Amino acid sequence: MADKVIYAMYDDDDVLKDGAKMLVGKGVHVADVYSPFPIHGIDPIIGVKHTRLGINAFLYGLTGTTLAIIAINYFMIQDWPMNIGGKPSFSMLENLPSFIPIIFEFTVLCAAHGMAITYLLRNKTLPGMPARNPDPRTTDDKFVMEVRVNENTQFSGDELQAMIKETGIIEIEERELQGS
Amino acid sequence: MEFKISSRAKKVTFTLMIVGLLAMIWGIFTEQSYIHTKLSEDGTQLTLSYPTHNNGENTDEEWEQFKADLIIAAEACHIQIMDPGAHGHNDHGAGHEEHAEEVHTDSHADEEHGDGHGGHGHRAEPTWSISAHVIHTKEGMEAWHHHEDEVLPAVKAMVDSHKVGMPDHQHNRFWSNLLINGFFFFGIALGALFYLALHYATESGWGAVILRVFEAVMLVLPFGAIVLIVVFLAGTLDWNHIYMWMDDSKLTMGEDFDKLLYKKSGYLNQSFFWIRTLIYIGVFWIFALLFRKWSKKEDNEGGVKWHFLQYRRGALFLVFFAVFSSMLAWDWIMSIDAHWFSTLFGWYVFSGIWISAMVMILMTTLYLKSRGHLPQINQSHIHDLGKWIFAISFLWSYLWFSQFMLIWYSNIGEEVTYFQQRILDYKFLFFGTFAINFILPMVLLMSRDAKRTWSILLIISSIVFVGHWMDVYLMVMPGTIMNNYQIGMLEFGMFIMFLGIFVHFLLRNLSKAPLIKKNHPMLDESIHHDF
Repeated sequence: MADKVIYAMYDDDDVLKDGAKMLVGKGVHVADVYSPFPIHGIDPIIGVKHTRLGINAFLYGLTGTTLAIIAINYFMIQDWPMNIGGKPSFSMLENLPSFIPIIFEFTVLCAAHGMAITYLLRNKTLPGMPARNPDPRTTDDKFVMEVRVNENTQFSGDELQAMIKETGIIEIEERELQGS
Repeated sequence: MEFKISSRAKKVTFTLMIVGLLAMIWGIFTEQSYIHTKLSEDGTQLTLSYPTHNNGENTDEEWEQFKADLIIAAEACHIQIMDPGAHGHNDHGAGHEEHAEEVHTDSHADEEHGDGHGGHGHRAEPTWSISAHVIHTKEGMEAWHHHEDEVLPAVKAMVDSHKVGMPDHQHNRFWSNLLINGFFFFGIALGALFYLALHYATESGWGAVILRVFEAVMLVLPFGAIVLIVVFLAGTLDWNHIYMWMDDSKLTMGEDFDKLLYKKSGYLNQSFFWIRTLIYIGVFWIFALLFRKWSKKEDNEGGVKWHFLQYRRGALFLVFFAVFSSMLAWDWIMSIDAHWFSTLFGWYVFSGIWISAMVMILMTTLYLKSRGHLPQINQSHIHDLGKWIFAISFLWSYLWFSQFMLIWYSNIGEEVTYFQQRILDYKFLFFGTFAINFILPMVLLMSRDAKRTWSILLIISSIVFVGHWMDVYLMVMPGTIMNNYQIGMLEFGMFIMFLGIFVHFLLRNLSKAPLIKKNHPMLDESIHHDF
């Protein structure tokens, strides 16, 4: 009974959204939804938490800014002082405006790469990793809703299936849960 | 759904106007003309110089009064000032009987000193300066030894802080303030008009429920326009000296001849300037009226006909706006420093206009929502407006910095004058304004929750609003009254008064039409805007 997972397939995102709304209204916990594109407004319905990727991006950016400032200070001021634009003051602060573009670029580089790598790692979708979606058609034109039986212990597996079947699905499938 | 101005809102706006007016009048009467002070490097000489184009209008009595005031105010320092012209060095040592230790001011008449502004700009009027240096009698040497360094700086501080000064007959500060506020509030209305056109031209859906707020803000356009026209008219009639290129004596051969202005006079001349000004204002106003008219027709008649008309005309307006927004910035603001030029200036001014307008729209929306109007507006709309403020802050900062860095880096004499003036005399305000307008929205509006929290939005937008007023202040003031700046009752009062008038007209415009468009094709999408 435990470790069973139900995959319900839809061919329209609005039908899926309405179905999810109905199921959640009855107290069913929807574990996940697989979709070829982001479905607007599905997150609050199935209770997905807000992403913390933005906070990560900020921290990566901050790291980039700090690294760039330290490096530029070493290269251009300490190690080999340069006369910049006829302003040979050899001071980081007074030459700062000419370093802003590179500091900015490095900040963006760190934030963007850090964010992309974090995203891929967190979703386990690094290049070469096995696909985790239950059905390859969810990358084309189908939408799949995942409901785990052990997360909805107040209902039996059959009750769950019966409820899901009312929501306009085109296919339903029950599988053993394999890791997470 | 109709909106009526509450009596409380009326009271608040009228109070703002009256308080502002009183503060402004008080400011005008205490306006003082500037006396430039320069302390020599060894600290023993204080030069007070004075542009004669002001001096010519100050009477001898006022000059005497100034000196008397200075002596009284500096009593602790035992200062004595000689009449520069009449006596010169003659009075050396006078007053020794009274004070064992004496600070003498030794005066020179310096009327032929042609370039006395010390790098402060373009007005080459001769200055009239008095030099003062500290002389010690033998007995006084020891007694005053530890004060020696403090006397002249104290006198300088008194003159700089306008504790002692002469009345300003030209009211340069008043006219400059009028230009600043006129332009700032004209810009807010223009920014709303621009955003409305952009909203239509891009066929955006999310904002259809707040389009009436955009319309209400843009219809206050004539207020700022009239103030600007008054300032320009006064310039033409020689009541103010904001635009030096309006001075004919600079274009004719003679003492004041200015080659650069002469070369630019094909573009910067009064008749062409007036033609351009009237065209800008006329075109903007016609578009604003048409958008309003079509919007009301859409309410009454329905269908998509009026929507698509606004879509096409919105795109057309953007074409006009792209050219005019840059040109009006050159004509009205950049020509104050007519010797200087920057190709980025138009965009920089435009981004400032846009963000001030966005703040005004956000504030109005929050006000209406808090009064229970506009129930269709949800947190997502507020979030979107917050995003705009966040994003345009970056645009503005980007343009500010691009302009600054390229000029700073290349360090070409004719380009750096603009920033030299601002960094020498306005250092704190200049960099402070940039820091506040950039860092505050960046850090505090970055997170999603902040853009959905009214209190944070209100605080940040109010600060940014004043910050962008300050930005216009820094575009105008260094060119018109050089380092003779002050943020006092005049600035405060006029800003408050203009704000009161602007908000009053804005609320009246809101009450003239239903707060929600009735037949906008994307209304339904906008009401369900959610992310």
